[in-house]
Amino acid sequence: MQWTEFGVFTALFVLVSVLGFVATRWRRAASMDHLDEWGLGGRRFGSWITWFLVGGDLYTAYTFVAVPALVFGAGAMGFFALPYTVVLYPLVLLPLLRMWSVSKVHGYVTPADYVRGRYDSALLATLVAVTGIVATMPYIALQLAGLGAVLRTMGLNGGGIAGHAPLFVAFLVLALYTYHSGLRAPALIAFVKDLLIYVVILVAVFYLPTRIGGWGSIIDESAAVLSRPDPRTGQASGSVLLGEHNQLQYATLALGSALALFLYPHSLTGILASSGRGVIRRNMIALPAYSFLLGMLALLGYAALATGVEPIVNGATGEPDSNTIVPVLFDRMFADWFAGLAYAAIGIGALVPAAIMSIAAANLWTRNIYKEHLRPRASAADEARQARLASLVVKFGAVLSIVFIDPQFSIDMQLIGGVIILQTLPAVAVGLYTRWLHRWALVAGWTVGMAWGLWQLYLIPKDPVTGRGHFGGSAMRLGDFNLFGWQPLPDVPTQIYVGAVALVMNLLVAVLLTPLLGRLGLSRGTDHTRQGDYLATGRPASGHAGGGTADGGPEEPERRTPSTRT
Amino acid sequence: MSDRDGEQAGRTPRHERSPWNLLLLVPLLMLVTPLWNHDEPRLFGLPMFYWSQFLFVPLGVVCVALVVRAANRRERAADQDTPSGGER
Repeated sequence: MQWTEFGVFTALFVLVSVLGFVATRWRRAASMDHLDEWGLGGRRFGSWITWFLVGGDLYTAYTFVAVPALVFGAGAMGFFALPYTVVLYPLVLLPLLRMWSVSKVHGYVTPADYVRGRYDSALLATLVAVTGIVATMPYIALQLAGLGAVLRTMGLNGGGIAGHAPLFVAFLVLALYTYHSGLRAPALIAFVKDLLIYVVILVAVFYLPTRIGGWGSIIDESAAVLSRPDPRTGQASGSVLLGEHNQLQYATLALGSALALFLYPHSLTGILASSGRGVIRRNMIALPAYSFLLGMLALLGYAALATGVEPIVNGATGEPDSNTIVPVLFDRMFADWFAGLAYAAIGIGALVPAAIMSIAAANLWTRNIYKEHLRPRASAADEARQARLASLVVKFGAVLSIVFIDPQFSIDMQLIGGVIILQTLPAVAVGLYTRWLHRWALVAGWTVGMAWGLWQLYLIPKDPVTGRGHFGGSAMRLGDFNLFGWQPLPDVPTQIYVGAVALVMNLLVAVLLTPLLGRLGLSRGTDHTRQGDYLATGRPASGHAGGGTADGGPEEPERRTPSTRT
Repeated sequence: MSDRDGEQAGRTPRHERSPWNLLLLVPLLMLVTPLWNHDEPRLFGLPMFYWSQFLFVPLGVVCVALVVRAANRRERAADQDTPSGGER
């Protein structure tokens, strides 16, 4: 047991928990019993808070733990996370502005709300909601894995069921204060977390290379280690440059992840909680500051390789846990108190996004399933209560997915979530621009993409040598593409992200069926949004009176003062 | 489509289309890996594959910033064209 590290870690952890409870009082609303308050923090976060909030839920245990672990295990492939976070912002800038505007006008809180309004289809909205909830669970599970890796490195590595105990405790704390204060808790904690993370990263990426002998020797040493043949497969485990078969995989992973990110309910929550289009624009410029850090952290995977770090063996499963390599590296290279600080940064960095993710998934449940199908007459207080309960359920769903999906690299959990959430792209993102696609064609496309994607993921063995197990990764060989026995590209060894193929199939089905369904005379439903809604600024002068006010008026109270003049 | 006409009447026309938006496609070059997948030349010991991708971070920021600046300017111009856009 590493007592100093554990002491620093626990102290910071408790401090942050207290902050979480205090957060409820911050810019307090009249009542937390309203979903707009609990789930969107009142829809009035400015540039700074949004930056911390969105950054806080994008750069997570994923960045700190999963990406370096992939670099450690496979080399250059793990670096795809950098292009992912670079192409992300240019891709989503314009669609997100449209999404914010139309949501502001109509009081939408979730992507499913929007789909309901746009396509007038309860079924499609429900599919989008369910997809969001399910896709979020493995992403939260990734956060759990990151937190677990830290606890394990500090010595909490019991055998059997005791090995899982610390996770449950940490998530109980999280669950309690998320339950209490909604989105405000993670927004405030994000400040502390980012401060910690910046300190840790800057020290790590500038100090470590000087200790180890500069990046040149780190890369060369890593190249040597990665090229050693694996005793089981007889092949090199990776390389510091991409090979001939994995460049397409690299590009599709980056592009697929970028397209998927803002389809997740939690990242959209951060955007919708902002107070205006200007806030979003400024954030799309400022958020890449995190990308730099992400790239630097990815390189720590090589630092661990070059210094001969061995991953800690998971006491519960008996397998080496590659997620522990960065924590072990810190343990080796830094004083105990600083390692404790770094662990706190990783741990809190896992909790904040887990909180935001579960809140967002809870919103989906409440708005689009509970209220839509189970209790249409639910009061605002009922809704808020349901959301709180649902956020607890989602967290435990994540714990379960850690038990049932356990890929070689934890990053594959997020990528599996990506395969799932990408299937909502035609309805949500394409829908922002055109309503050409028929709603039933979208349903069909979703069904095909989802079924094929999940089936393909199921076929990927956990153990590549023996071919046993399922859900072992997120990439497939093009040569393995098989549609009812039809193999268009036999023997092509090029690897590709399953999500990209599933999305293409989804879109193809939707595009091909649209004219057909139109000819059959199936109703397209009523579009409740108008063209101008997508450009609304939300200011009283230029926005027209829409459904937004029906939600209790998320605007500041100041706005009501001038109205007394009229 | 029939449900959309007439909505724009009397409202400030706001356009988000602009040739500036094409700049948003530039960072996608990063996905063309054969261009960057080389060891030499190295910078601070890092192979080209790594440092060139780091360079795309500021490039992406500049592209987005230019697009945003152009959009802000367009919106300000649109607001000035409609006197009703100010105090109500």
